[in-house]
Amino acid sequence: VNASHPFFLELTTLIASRLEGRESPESAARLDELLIEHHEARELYLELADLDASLAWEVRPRYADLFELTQQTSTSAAPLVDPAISSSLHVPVLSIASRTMTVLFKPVTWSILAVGLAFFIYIAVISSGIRRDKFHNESNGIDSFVATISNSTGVKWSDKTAVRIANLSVKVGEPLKIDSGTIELELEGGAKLVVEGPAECTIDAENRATLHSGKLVAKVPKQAVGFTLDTPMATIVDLGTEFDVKVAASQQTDVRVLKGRVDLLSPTAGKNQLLTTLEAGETARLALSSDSGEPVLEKNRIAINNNLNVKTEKPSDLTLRLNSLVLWLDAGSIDLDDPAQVRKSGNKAYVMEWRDRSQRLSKPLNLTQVSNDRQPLLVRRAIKGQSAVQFSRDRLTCLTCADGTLMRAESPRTVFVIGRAQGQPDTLIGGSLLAFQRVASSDQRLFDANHISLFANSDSSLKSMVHPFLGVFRAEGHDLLPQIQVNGSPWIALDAPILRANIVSLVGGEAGEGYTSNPSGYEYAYRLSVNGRDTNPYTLQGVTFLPETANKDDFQLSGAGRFAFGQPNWGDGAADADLESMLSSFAFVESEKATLTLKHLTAGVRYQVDLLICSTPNYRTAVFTFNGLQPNSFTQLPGTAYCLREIVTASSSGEIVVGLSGKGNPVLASAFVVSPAPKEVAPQAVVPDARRAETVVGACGLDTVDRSQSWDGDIAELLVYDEVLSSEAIQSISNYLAHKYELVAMPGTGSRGLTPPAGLKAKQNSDP
Amino acid sequence: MRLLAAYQGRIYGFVFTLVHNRSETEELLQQISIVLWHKFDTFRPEGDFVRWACGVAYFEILHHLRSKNREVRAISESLLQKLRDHRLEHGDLLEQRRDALGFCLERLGAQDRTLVEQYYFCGNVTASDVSQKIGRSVEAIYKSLQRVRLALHQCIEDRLAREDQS
Repeated sequence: VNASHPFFLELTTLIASRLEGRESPESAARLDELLIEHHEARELYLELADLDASLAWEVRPRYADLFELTQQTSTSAAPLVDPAISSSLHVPVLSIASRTMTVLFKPVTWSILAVGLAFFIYIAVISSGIRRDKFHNESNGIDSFVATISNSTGVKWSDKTAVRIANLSVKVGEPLKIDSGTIELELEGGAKLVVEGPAECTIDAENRATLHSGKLVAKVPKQAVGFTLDTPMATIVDLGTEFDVKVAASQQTDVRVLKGRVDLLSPTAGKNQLLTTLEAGETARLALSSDSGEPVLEKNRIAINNNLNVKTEKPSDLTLRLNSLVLWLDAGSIDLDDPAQVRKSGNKAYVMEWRDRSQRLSKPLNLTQVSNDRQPLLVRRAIKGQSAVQFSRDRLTCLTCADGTLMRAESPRTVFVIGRAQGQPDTLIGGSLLAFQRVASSDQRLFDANHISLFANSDSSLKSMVHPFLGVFRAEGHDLLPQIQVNGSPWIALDAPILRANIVSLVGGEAGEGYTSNPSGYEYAYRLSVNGRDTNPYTLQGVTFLPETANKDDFQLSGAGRFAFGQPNWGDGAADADLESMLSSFAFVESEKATLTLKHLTAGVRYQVDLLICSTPNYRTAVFTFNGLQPNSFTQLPGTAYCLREIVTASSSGEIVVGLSGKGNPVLASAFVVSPAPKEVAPQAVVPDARRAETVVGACGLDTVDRSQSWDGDIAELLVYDEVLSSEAIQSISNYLAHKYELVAMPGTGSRGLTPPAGLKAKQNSDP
Repeated sequence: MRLLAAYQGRIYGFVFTLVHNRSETEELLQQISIVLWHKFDTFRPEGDFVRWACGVAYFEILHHLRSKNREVRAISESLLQKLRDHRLEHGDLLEQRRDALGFCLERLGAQDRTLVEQYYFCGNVTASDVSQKIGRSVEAIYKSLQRVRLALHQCIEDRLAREDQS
């Protein structure tokens, strides 16, 4: 099959997802269709499938010697197999690792380094020039693809033979010359380059490129920090950032940092001499002096404007100042030099008072702590260069405002929190942004009657939180956390009455098969081993709901029934406990369809329906109907974790059905219908009596009873609004926070991603 | 069953192309081996072993797919037949490709080779296993895998074309 075959790209993609076991029903159907109709498609499929089969079955023994050989002859660049062996093998590499790598190591503490030695060295090897030279020169075969062209617009290539357009792969050193248009390159290392023609560049290694002339924008996610761009006059080493570079015909080089920092090195002046470090908003120009012919550096601060398709407009914090803003804590506003706010001890700064910036109430809700022992630490550059207040579980730190009147009685709230859990090494979850809430016994809410409490510790509590709100909580460039994201920003709104159905089905699963709620398979990777290796077909389906939030007569669960057999074993380890307990109330049944039906809808009311699906590749169909019709935007579920949301306004009375149908591999799903109280019950998230409300951040009072539940980590910013904000307001606040903390938005969530719980009356806000 | 041992790779390939799941394929292969063992006296020594074995395997596969009852995605039987026929017809060509694969694997870059090794040579590993091992995102692993696959495929094509010329 020729690569220029019209179906080639589509076909190879479809085949790959089939072989990888992650195809969606649509892509499966499409592939079947192509395979049935086209002889060539079958041929390609058989070739690729057989390639997989040979690799998996035959090659191992047949070429084992080949692989052993590689490892022996090229120790410095050999693939790592056994971390123990390889770490000893590769230690010398450290000393010759390039400057790039030194940068990478800098923030890593030695204890972490020791544990992660093999891992880091591996990166060092592939990212430094050693591998490139050695392997690029040696092999003339098919190696060395280091980037993919992910997008191109209006491109005119200077050299037609330059790029293998067929699979859009770019080889090491392959000249990429464009006369006009833009191409977007994704390097294997994770960096993304947008090159604007006319330009000439090459990709030199998986995390290194050269711009000979022209303009490019580099977006460097966390995992690609250390990305290096060479230009004729400078070497730019990224320190986690976004920057653009222009190389003129005269070789004059302009560098502009849009976010983060870069180091600018001079390749000509000795060996990689550090010229300067550029911060966000700074530019540097390197040009040859007309007098001496020596390169001259000129550094400036500029107003970054929107250019080269880079979104950089900074939303104003005025967007935050809505009338309903009752509390605004911003660690960045704490004045280090004010002895009323900060107590300095050695080189540490402890927060005595965290002032409320909201200026909305007659009396600001300034939070204080007089006891030295319990003052939290102020950490600068804690989260994306922004300050944060660090609460410690061990020290039971907290800040309080004893007589603040935070909220009007009977008022719901919308809350935004930016924070980070302690104990996540920077190298791993550097940007993980988690918002936490108290998990009360009855339901989950951020507030109890008189407190704001920030709770929760680890990923396990995150799990229980993500469900009710389908919140956000994803680290930048990192997929250890659930990839459930609402426009890149944490969002918690208080609960409206929620009807929740957790639908669990284990249909025909295999022992040892994992449940995955995110593609990395890490966070929720529960192993299912039923009766050990027993692979007898079994069928379990369960449905449960939170009955206390609604009138039972108004909804109905189908697919409930009997236990097929005992409590499943969700794997080992403590982290499994809460899913297990969640499941313990389930009734398992044999059924192909599990749904939650909300009956007796009230005409004219908006209903929000969320369906969160965590699954290994499966072939189930998400069910969602409103009076028997399927709303158009409620997409069918693909193979892995997915989160669907639909908001409908009931045009008439009727019913909503949400759930799953079809048999398939294991699936764990939660369906929620957030609705108004069917019988005009007041919203549950109310403060019954706000006359003596106390505001607490950290671990005070009751929290000392169970330290494991108290907040341990950084809080950079906390905003509380005394109402349910409109989706537009939530959107603009999210944008502000996302920009400030460099949260990454997941494409496709669109503007409908953030929506307050329906049913609570959303008010339109305007700036004062 | 020396024959079976010799041709197990081909039968694996046959099953895999129809089932396209490594662990299922391995399980099926065990079952099929047992069935082949029981039925071996129906095989004529002068016959084509692979063809015979694949015929037996085909029914096991059908049985397996039906019992799994994955009606939503199960490749329809006519497609299965087409794939089976195509495969049996071009078995030798695939065998040539397998020979060329060795050549191409040697030409893979070190990093790509590591990936192949991690993904294919360590049992039924998933991309997320590999991702955790080498600290790259799962999407990156999938992308790289696809790229390596296509690169190997292309290399095999080139190699075979060259062999035809010489």
